[in-house]
Amino acid sequence: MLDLRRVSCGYGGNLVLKGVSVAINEGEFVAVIGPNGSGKTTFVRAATKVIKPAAGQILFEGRDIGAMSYRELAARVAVVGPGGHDPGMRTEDLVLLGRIPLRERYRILDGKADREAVREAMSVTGLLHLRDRPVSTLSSGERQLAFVARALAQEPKLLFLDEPTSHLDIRRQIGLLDLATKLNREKGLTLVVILHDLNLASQYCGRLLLLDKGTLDSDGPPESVLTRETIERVYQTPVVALNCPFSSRPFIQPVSREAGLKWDL
Amino acid sequence: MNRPLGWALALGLLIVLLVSACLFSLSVGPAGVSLLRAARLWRQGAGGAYLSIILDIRLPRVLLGFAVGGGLSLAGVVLQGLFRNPLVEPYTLGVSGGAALGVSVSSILGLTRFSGPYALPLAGFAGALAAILFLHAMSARRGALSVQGLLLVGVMINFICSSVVLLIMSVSRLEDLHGILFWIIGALGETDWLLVKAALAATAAGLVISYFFCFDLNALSLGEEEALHLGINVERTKRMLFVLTSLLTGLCVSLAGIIGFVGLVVPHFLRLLVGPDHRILLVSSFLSGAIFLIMSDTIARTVALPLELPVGVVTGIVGGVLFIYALTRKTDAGGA
Repeated sequence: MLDLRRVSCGYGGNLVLKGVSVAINEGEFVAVIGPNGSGKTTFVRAATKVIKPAAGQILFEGRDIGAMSYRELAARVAVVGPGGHDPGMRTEDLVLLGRIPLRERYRILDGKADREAVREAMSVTGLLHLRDRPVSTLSSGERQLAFVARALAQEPKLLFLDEPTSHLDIRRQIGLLDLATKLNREKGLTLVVILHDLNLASQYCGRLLLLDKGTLDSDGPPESVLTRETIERVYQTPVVALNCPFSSRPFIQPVSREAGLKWDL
Repeated sequence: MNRPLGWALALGLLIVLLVSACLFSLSVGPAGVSLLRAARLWRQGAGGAYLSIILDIRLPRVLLGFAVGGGLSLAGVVLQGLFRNPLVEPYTLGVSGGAALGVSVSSILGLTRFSGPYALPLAGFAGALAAILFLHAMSARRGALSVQGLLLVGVMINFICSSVVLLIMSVSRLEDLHGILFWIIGALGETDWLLVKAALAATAAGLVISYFFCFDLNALSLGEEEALHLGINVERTKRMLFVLTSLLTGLCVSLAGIIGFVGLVVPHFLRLLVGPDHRILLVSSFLSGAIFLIMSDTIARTVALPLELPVGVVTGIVGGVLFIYALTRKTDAGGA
């Protein structure tokens, strides 16, 4: 579905991604992990045409995204970013923005399809009761869900989530990733999620992409990526790798330098 | 809430207000000719002079107030949407400074004496265009349009131009000085029908064109990167809207001088009243700006008879007071 071929890109003369090749298949739920500055967000920005690659090619469903209009791309690919500006609008109006790439171009009023898609997106995310509240009055968890709902109103085939769980408590982290899993299984939505929490990535995603200094260090199931050797090499900090007794997925526990020395890790 | 119904109500109310403002403005003036009296006399076959006062003196002012007020607030609401900054106004891009400089230069060179009624507007428009071209050349040199960069360059253009205008004023003769000063403060005294019609057509076209971008502006309220993710070609939209607002502002400034506050206060108020959706915000700002300027001009030419105040003074005082009131009221309501 999404195919990056030896993609290098960055800002100015400074390359952040260096020759990354990776293919995301339809129906996958992929986590992108890696240290700060390893190129995770740049990966998403390149794949969604926010920045142009300096070298290489990015294909979506076989077509070079450089040759697709932003509108065409946005009708298929949605992004929930780290959030920023307070749009100063009601929650429902925020979700309605997701209809922009899909609506008939010069039709001013909302059509039936728009209203239904907004309703559906808000009911899936459990926000229907908040529809008239200004976005600025929502809690961070609700606001994150509102942006997810806006992305769902886009009816995308591929959804990028950039650190969706930061600033959320564990209950809301689980709630959000459970929702992602449900969308992945029931609607066949392909998901690429940037996660800092290695253990959430291990639990939820069948495939992990580990970026390090702009290159793809490892690509595979949690069992093969989340090993003590790989994580210590990439993150340069001592960790203990265990297996979750229930799911038998790997579990990474970072330890302090002091403890690492004491236990000779 | 049923959105289209609410929008229709808001639009209907604004149109009623607009028509009332026009009728009221047509009906008062230093000649003491009311609309009713003129109509009665006209039916009796007399009162041609009264009718002429209304049609030739007051009507062009009302129509020009409609075009300039609407055009300035439309430019203001679009720019505030683009910059995501409620303090931006049409003059922020340096257009007003360029126009003022053009007018000052042409009046000190005595061009007004040669080319009659079109001299000042043409000089103003030429100055505005020069400022626009300069701004766009500066931004094109740096590649992508950086919103903050444009803002700063625009403010600097205004600074430089107003300094040069002050220089020109300090060395010019007294009769030129009054003309320049009156123009800079802003007035709707232009009564040439061709110019008034041109202003009406151009601002109406501006309103229609702005509607091709109403969803782009809605998306941009989330930020430029989010707008890209919503399928907006952000660079193209920014360029088109800058050109549109620059031309609108240049036109308004060249016909009516630098009428302050309309493009700042009206969009801000309307955002509070009808919400941030540009589908209703654009047209309601246009209509409200027209109402505001027509009423301000009516005050300006009647409140201190036989003197006529420059309308820019009235909009500044009325607009400023209303603005402060709205801001403090909002913080009271939202105060945590």
